[in-house]
Amino acid sequence: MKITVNGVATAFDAAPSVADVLSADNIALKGAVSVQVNGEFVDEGGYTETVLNDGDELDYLFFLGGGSRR
Amino acid sequence: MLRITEAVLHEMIAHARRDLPDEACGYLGEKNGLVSRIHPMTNADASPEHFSLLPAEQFAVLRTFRAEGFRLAGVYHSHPETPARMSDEDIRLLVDPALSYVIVSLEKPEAAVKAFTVGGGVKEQDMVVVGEN
Repeated sequence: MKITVNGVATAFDAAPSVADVLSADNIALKGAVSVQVNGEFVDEGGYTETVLNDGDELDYLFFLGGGSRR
Repeated sequence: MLRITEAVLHEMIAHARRDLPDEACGYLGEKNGLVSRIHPMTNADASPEHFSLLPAEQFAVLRTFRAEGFRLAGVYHSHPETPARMSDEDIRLLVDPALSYVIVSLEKPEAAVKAFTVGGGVKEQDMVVVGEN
């Protein structure tokens, strides 16, 4: 089955969860990213139980912030 | 090396000045090895000392870039009163090894702009400004 991950078609042997996709991309700090599946946000608490279907689109982005002091 | 158009460089600096006293931030898009697309973003912190992006806006701009054939290549933000260097907070929070992090310093009358990467530790990245003829 194929899932489009951040715009790239990616093959999986079996239906992956969001957590599986992030692990496959070596995202160790899963709290550091925001995830959308087919344009809908998935909370971090749902990464394991949210299983993807063939043709789904998953996008993830790192939290972005910082500061100028120190 | 980060290759960036003169127009994008000027727009980053103009955005940084427009948003004073707060920090400004935005996305940079690359096509064919050249950063030629800029998208000013909302600083959710609206602060002179901090910035953060809104995830919903991040995803929306990412999809716009994709539709236009651009790759998300970097993020810029301004330091209104401090040098163009990665602060401790920047180092702690900017963790995507795939991106270039560009900092626009307005500490002095003439803006200073530097780029950094974080994969394998923070490193200053060579930046080449390309004029448009």
